[in-house]
Amino acid sequence: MYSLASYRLMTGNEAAAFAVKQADVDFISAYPITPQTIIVERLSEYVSSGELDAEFVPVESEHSAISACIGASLAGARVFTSTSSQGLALMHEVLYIASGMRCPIVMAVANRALSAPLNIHGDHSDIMGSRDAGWVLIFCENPQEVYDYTIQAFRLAEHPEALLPVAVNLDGFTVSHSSEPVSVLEDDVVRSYLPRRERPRLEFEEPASFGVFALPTHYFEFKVEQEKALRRAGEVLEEVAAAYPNSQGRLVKLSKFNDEGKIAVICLGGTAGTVRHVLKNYGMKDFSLVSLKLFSPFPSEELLDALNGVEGVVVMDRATSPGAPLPPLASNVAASLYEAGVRLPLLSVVYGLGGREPTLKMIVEMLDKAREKVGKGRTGVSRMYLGYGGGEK
Amino acid sequence: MFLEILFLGRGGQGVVTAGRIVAEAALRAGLFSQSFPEFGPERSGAPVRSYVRISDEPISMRAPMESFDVAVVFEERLLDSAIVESVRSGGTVVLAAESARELPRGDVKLFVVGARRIIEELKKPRSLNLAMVGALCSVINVIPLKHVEDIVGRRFGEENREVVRRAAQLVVSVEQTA
Repeated sequence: MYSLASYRLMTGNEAAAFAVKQADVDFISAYPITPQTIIVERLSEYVSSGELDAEFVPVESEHSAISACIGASLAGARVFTSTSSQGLALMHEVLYIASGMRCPIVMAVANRALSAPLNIHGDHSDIMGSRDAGWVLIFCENPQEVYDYTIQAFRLAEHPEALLPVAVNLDGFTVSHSSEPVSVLEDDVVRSYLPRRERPRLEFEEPASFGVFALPTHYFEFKVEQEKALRRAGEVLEEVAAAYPNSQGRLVKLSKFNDEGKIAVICLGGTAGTVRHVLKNYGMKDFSLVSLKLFSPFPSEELLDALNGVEGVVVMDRATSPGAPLPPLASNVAASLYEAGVRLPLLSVVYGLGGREPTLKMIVEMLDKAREKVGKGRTGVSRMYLGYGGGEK
Repeated sequence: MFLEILFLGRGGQGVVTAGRIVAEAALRAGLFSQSFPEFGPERSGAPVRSYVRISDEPISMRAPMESFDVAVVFEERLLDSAIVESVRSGGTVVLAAESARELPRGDVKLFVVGARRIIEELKKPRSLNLAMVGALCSVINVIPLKHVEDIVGRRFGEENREVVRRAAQLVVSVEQTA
């Protein structure tokens, strides 16, 4: 442990912007949208004050922002952008181009609900709508993780085995706007962790084409190669994390709390902190928590290890997948279990849509339901909308 | 030690800033802290809330705060029955008021501070939040006032140190008979 004296109070948004400044990016293009606005506001201040030597390109839409980022990335620049909700949805078609052209762009997504009805509050609908765009998807529990994982995201994105864009997700408001102690590294320590590496780029001397037209004779191969690269990003993650100077802040695929639990709660982002608080303080020794930090590539193997000895699982999704058998995270968990021939009872919980933050009481209610539905001797899949119908205030 | 604190004032009075100052001062005092605003749109003049958690252990929970150990209320009219009810038994209300008043609950302590008079006398009309932070720190007594003064002095000007100090001196406990 290091002393609290080395900590600074930062919101998730401020932690993201500070990490990006220390990563010494060359190019930022973004369009403001709640709840990520503070990230690009801070970065524009860093650029205008000269603290960060980068091009800041304000644009007329998120579609243009990510397009400008692709151009700069192909020119060899270290690139960052940030968005939320409708902004991410507007980027959607270009997200596939960024990953298809293997641009190591880092993007912060302060997760927010999608309209309609219009809502500015937190949930994971935005990024889950783009989960097949071929990006590495990281989820943060708190501002400290936002800081640490944003820095590591650059090294992962630019790793020659990966060369893929990375989205660092932070829950809108509950993480993006919550001020907490964040332990930060010295500027030069971050710079030496993130050396500039040669990569294929647009050059006069050695002309190359990116984003070419690919007929049925080649397109399929491109896409499979891209998928392999995403798998490799998962493989090199450990090496990327191991080199990170603050050993406490190293990016992991998942973290587990309480190895003794018989029922595992699996979730993404800030809610993991609330669940951990309940398990610790309410004496819920029969439960474990698996906080997934990596959603794509999905860490099936590590998850199965973490579920070893568990009798049932609760999967918390902060998004729905209308018409699908299960929402996104539950679907990935079920597929991972199926592939391993493991048939555990599963409670799929949809929670927190449009900013209905789970209270401690709601988490306790969920755990009670879990004992009934996925406890010893139970089978099959059951479903629950946590906090649904109880939101009037 | 674990404290959950509500700041309640109006848009424009620095309610969110007050929470952040306290969280930062707690951090300087070697405590863990978390501060967050009421999420969503804020309107000038409308009631605004912010929240602070202080603990001697890391804070992992991010649940909304529904009841409080301390409610810091910037204006008498904002202290309605719902706010009084949301304070935990044995908890505290710190109220900006010129005179004592009766709370409908005997299990809640009341402290008042003439915050408006302090900022008028010191000619710091926009420093109501700083006065309330000073009063709060004096009441909860877990953060050395010096940390608050240092943060305030650096960020809002040295003369605001006196706002914090005077509010901390002048905040008084009001005996409840209920």
